[in-house]
Amino acid sequence: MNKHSPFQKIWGLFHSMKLGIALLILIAAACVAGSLILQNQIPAYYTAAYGAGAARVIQAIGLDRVFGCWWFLLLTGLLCLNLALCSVVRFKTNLRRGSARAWGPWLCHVGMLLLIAGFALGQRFGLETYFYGVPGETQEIEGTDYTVRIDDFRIDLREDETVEQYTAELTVWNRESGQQQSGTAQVNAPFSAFGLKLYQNSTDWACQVEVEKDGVPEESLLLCVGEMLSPASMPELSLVFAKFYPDFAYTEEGPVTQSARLDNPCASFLLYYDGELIASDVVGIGHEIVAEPYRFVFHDPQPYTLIQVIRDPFRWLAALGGLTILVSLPLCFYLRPKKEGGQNQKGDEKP
Amino acid sequence: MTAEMFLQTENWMFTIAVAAYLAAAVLYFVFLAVKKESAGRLAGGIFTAAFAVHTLALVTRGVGAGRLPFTNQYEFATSFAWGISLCYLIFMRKYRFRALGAFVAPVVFVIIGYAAMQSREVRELMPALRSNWLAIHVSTAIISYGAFGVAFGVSMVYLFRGRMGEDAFHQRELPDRERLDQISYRAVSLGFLFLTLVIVTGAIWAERAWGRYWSWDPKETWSLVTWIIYAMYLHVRLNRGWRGKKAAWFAVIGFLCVVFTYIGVNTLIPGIHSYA
Repeated sequence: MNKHSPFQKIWGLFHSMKLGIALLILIAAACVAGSLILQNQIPAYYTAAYGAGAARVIQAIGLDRVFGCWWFLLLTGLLCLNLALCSVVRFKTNLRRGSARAWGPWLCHVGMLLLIAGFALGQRFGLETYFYGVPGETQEIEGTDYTVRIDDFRIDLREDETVEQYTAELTVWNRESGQQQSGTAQVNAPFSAFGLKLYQNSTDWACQVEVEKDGVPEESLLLCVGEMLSPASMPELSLVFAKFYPDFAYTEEGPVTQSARLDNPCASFLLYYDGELIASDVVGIGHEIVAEPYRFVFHDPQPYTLIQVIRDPFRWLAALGGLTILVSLPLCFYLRPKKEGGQNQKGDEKP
Repeated sequence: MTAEMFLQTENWMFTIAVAAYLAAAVLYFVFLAVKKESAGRLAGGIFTAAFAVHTLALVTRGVGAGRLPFTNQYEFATSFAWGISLCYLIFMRKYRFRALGAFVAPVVFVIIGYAAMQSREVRELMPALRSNWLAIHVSTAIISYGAFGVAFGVSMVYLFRGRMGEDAFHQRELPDRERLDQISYRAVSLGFLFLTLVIVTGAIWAERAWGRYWSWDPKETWSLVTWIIYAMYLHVRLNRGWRGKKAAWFAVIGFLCVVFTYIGVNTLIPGIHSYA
């Protein structure tokens, strides 16, 4: 085929180092923007932080969600195409030359491709979900055939009351086959069961809340920090459990907890009626919150656990990519002859 | 000796190391500016002594704290400075390039000075930091950042080489530009290899601690930006036109990214690395 044909020119462009470098510059610039601008916030955040005009621009070009934006994915896709074509061309050249050291950069490019492919496939076909609860609670894991029960949850404290470890004892079973596995999830030591990884992600507090109407008990339910309840007979009324203080004290800096011990447990709450805030305060455990004709009482505080569930069927591919890059770099740098970094002595541009 | 005594010992050894690095930086400057051989010899001796005391300070800190001293701003800053010193001493001996200290010693002093401004309190580790991967991740970062610090110094020498004149002193003490370019490349390639290890080991640790090996956390993102800049440096060297001055500027910009990744991201951008 004619070297100057449009096809050859396009082929040449797509496997050129020039295109690869241009794409790397654009991806690096996008990464800088994505790290400096807080990602995935609500529109009001950007208006407050940057002003209405800049917020409109940020949202219009996707700078508020850079790493999932179409143009970022397009740049990454083009880089993969560039790496793939470059690897094909290099493969032929390397075979012809028969030189061991030329395989270093080639392996590095292939490793990058495997890494990006593993990450992208994991994002596309993997699963990431969360559930929270207290010991004894059972939850279905969203998007799977599995159910999990929190058998136990404990927080081990050191003498100075800092946290040594968070430990959740879990049992997972398949709802169809009934097969089950039990294990422990700790920070830095997830529990693996049926191809799922369960991570001890975080913790906060939950309280049992008694609801009375005109002095008659109406319901009793477990409410976690951040959750809201509305009495069945008056859905316009909402009680939000805002924060829990195990050892409450009021200081110049506002309400704080003095220790992790349950010495003076208090709950901060917000009360809404028809969407409007009608009260907010901090109340001791066992004390009443009155919103006639209702009374709410928080009691039996206990920590709950937040468990993260991950299934990434392509993690091995990303790991293989990372390993390939690591193996390739010593070949690139330390198998070169005398003129380090300058395999291309004539200054011609080859990928 | 009690843990408290080890930490007190670390405290004064650290102070001595800071003062000695400053003295070495000044003497290296005098060596280059006044072209006095004795100042260069003295600077080299003081720098080596500062490194030895600095090493002892890190060891006593580790013994006093009961763990590797890698887990907060102070500990990583002082380890970062130590990594640059170590790489400088290796490169200085390998290439007989003492004058490089005039550009590396001030960087070491600034970073250890930053460490001196941080809290030296020893705290128990949060559960996420209690991982063997932390030791591997941070150790590789120290070597990587150290090598990039040396590449920065060599590149600065390259950029100033033409303005220093070509007398017998400069010919004896400073490698020619081609050699400087090669030394910078050696340092960058070492740093790049270790930066890749930093990112891979960090990803393994993140996968175990937070469930995702890559989550576009600002520190991860800036490590990637730094990796891309040095990857471009290595690629553009394939084209002879991008050697020399342009490559030197790449190495300087790359090191500024390293410093931002460490200090800027921690102080300006919130993320899960805010403790390190």
